[in-house]
Amino acid sequence: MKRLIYTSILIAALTVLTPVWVAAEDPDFDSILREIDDLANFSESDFSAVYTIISERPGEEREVTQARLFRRDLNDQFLILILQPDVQRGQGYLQVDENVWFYDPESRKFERTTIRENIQNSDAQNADLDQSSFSSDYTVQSWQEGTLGSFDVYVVDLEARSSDVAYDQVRLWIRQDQTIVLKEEDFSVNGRLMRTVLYPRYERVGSKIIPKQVLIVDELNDGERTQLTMTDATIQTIPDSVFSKAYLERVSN
Amino acid sequence: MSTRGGSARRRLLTAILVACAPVWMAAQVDSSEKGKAEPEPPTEVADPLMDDSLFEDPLFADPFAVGAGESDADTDDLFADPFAIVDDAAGGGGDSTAIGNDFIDVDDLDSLFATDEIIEEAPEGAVPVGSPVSDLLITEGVRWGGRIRGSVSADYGWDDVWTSDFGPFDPTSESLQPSIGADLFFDARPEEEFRAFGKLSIDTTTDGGLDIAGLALTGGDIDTSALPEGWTTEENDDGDTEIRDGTGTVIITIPADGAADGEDDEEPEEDPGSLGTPPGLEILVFELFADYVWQDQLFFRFGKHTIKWGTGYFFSPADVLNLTAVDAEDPTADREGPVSLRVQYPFGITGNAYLYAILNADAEPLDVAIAPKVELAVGRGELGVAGYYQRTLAPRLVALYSASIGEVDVFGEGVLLYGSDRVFVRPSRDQSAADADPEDDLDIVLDTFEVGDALFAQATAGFRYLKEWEDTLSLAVIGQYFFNGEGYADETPGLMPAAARLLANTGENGLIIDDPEAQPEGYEDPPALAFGDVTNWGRHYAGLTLSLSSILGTDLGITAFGLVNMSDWSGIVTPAISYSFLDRFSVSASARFTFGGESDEFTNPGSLLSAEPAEPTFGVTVSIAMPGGSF
Repeated sequence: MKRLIYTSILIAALTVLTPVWVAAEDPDFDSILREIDDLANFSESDFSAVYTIISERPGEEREVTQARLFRRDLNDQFLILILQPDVQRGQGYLQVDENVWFYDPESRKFERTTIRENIQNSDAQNADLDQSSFSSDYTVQSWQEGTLGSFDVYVVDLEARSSDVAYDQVRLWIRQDQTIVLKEEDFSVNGRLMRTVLYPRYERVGSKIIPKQVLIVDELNDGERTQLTMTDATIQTIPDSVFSKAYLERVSN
Repeated sequence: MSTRGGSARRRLLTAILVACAPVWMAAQVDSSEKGKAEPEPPTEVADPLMDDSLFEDPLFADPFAVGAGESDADTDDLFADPFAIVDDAAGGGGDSTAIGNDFIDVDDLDSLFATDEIIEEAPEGAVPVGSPVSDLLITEGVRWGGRIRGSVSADYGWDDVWTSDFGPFDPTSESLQPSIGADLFFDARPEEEFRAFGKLSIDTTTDGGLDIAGLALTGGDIDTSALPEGWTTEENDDGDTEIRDGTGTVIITIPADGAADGEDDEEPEEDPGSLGTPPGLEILVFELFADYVWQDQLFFRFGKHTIKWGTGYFFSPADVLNLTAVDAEDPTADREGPVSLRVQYPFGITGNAYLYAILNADAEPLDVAIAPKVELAVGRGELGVAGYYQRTLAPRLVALYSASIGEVDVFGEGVLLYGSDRVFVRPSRDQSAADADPEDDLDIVLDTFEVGDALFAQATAGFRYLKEWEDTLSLAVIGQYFFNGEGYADETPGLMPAAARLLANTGENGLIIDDPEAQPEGYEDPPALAFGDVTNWGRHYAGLTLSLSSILGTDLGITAFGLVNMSDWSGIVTPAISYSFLDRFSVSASARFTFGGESDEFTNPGSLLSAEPAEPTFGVTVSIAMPGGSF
């Protein structure tokens, strides 16, 4: 009788507690997305690096673009200055608050553009160099566990909160033991896979972790790929004047 | 005993239940997942690498597929901890030149993902303090560069489109126009605070060129001071007078006998052909300036340089600083700027304050034009307030705005002038000269006058929409409306052609008193018209361009442009098609239609200088852009 009572109590306890336990183990993806953003964003310092962007298209010569990035996430500011090729040297993008301008030294004009604009002729966008904002731009629609190579990952489907982002739907492969994104698929509003992004290398800059090498595969055009490589990363303080039209004009042709 | 035995059984049961719990929980998870309103994946989980033939190596078959708990040991070996954190990676973040331009070798994914170097440390010491900013501001020696361009255009024009004389194979004018040009620049940055820059512009001058028929100047010499800036007159080998625009293109050929080409009563002679004239080249110092920065706060620029002042695309009434106005038919053309001193002071996070001093030769110190401007980003827009003062010109206040609304960029300008720089015309009270004109060419005698004590307003607003559809099409639509408060509300028929006639015949001004003895005390000649006074005649204008490029992913592009004077409803429509080939060649064909009444602005601007009523024109241009590019 006692055995039956103990068994019943135990089963009842497990029946009641197990869902609680499971629920407790349910990943908090809002928190995970915030952590991803926090790891890649510099809210307490500036950030600067050089990005080498290699674009490959079938039947065309490989294009190499090099750009210097200055970022001050605290004020939502960035400046991207094209260093190579020589013919585009001096072109640049400046974001101040919610405004993004493209500067063309040929015409000496600042033209409004968007953070979604591709950098030169590559598949990389300004947003790829800007601060991460998964947690504020997207909501989690579903998730599942999986593996990627030898890693356990969460595969998380995100949906954009507004049309201001580059892609309406995003699927992330997030490493479970270290909150970094290993793979990303970007979809259009009608669910068409636009591009796949791989993050094979990261670099720790201060307390942050930034993708050091990124491979972007254009899913619409076979054989088109873009690779970003980050170098010269630093969190040195950047003079205020850098985030200004005056500086962009000054360093341009 | 029973207690001990019971305890053992409890432990055994607990162990069994605990052992089973993960299975149970997994079932709960599955159940929980099923219970969620999980949307279908946007598409089937198509691994991008699998879609790419470059990734078809069986070793890498679906390496990133979601395994949902499955793990292929062989595959995992290939990806053994590729994302492992290696905090002590040597050399990470070093010199950017250390990273070559080699693309990731997709055939060598094994080594790419098999290494342990994933999260590296960025050695701060590897980046010299201050170098990211200052390195960009200093160069060794002088950097040279430029851009070369060339084209050959064939132009055919008809100015009798809607008449019985129109013949599609008998154009009124035709010409072949070779063009070669280049921009050459130097850029020297010996110090972080100092920089010198110069740009030469080399362009073809037209010594053969295009004659516009339908001109019949009947009296008076051409007042060259009335021509637009940069326009010249020149006598050709036949003794005819050619009026050329700033690019050297012949706009009008005025025969020596006073009749314009094509207006002779004689039977036209058969075109015997021509060897033409080798085009010449002219070199223009387009920009030449020096920059100096004081304590990273004040940015000085002195010299000749293009000034970006307004926000308008087809029309920019706010921009009175550059030497030429925006050409609505070529709105992206480089515009020559004046010699000026600019002081720029960035403030706050988004603010910029500018002060321009425009300096002209042969002027007194107090003739310097002053133009301050303050601009500030507000939300998704940028607001600017500016002013312009030159003691001989109407002072003006300017408001500028540009913003993004969704995917559409909007822009606008507002200008308030006290007085006007325009010379206006009105019918003279004394029309006796017109009545007595023996050739009956002078329809209206006009008086000219200026307005210095009234307020004039100009405003413009427009939009720009750019859209790309997944590499199959790019669309650009730009539209703009312009309210020209200096335009004529007077709808007197023939007023504009009469003003154009007065432009070339200043002696016909109704207020001129030629006889010195008849001139009253204090008499001054009435103000003379300039070319700019007979442009922008109306009060309402609109421009629209629609461009489709990368059509179906090809190098084919189609553009349509329209410009209309909404006051007299005359306008210009220009459809064009272009195709790029052999990387650096492109061919384009465009047509140019005009429409409007016989005395309207855009019907046939070339005929405004004649006494003939304007007829709509039609022109076709076929052009091949030769290899060119930057270097």
